[in-house]
Amino acid sequence: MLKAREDLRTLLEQLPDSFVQCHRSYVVNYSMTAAFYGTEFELANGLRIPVSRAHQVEIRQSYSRFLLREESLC
Amino acid sequence: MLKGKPLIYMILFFVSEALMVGASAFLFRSWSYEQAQVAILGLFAISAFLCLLLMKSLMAMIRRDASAQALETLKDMELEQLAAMVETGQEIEAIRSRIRKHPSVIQDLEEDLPDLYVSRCDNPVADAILFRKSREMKEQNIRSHFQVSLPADLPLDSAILLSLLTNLLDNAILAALQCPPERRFVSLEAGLRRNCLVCICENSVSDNAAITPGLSSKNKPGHGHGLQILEDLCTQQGGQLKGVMENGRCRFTATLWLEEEA
Repeated sequence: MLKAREDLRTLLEQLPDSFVQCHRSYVVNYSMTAAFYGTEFELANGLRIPVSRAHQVEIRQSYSRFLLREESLC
Repeated sequence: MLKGKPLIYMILFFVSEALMVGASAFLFRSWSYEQAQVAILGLFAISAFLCLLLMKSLMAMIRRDASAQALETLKDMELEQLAAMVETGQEIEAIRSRIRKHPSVIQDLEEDLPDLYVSRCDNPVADAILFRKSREMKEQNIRSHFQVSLPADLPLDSAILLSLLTNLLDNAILAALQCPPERRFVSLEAGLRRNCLVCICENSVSDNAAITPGLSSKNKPGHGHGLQILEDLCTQQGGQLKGVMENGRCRFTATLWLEEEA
């Protein structure tokens, strides 16, 4: 987890597509996630990142797309 | 056949209904109007409460029965798989002895073995389903390809997994059967990505096929048998079902989110 003073929108513009805003105060890197439980992400290091209600539907869809883009299932 | 709690609730419900109907005339005659009204309202409340309990217990009974039926099907599949595995073991022994005597048998084996399903998945439910479906497809001259990697302790209800895979494959088989034998194929790729179960099922379709969710295509050239069930299953698990049809192929992608283990 990194803390920054810049506006999240400004930061997001500089980051790759795998970084997505999931809450007013949080941006998550899909590549570093371990699980998604609807209202929060679990990161590979065990930390939990909340997903706000306003972002839940959009996150569910974009995270599914991200996972489907990954290589083989097996 | 009703038994246990639903039966008790049903008896109590009818008794309270009978009491309410039978006692109302008597109460109005012997009590004051207000007292009789309160008593009948009380009886009505009890009757409504019992009706609610009866409904709830009936729903629970239906759910239990459906789950038991699914598990029974699964048990049959696993028994069938076990019997076939024993049979396959014996056949392999026989083939081994034939190979030792006749090297030309290897050529026959190359033709037979690619379609022979031998346990390829750690998950016993998925393994049993794939085994049965691969046999069905072989009998119906459908080429099959499975690439399934699911753990034995997948945190998903067996009945859901059973319903998901059987509906996906049944739908694909039905659609493939409408193609000429040389074009028939079904492939299934399934695995976990993070805590998301992803199943991709692809099959050949006839030229006039169309995806029609919720409509059975048993008697039609369409492609949609069981799609509504699949869509409901995916949605229940927070996922989705997507279907694309192009160049004589249909591809369904089902995603289901697995819940956090307690």
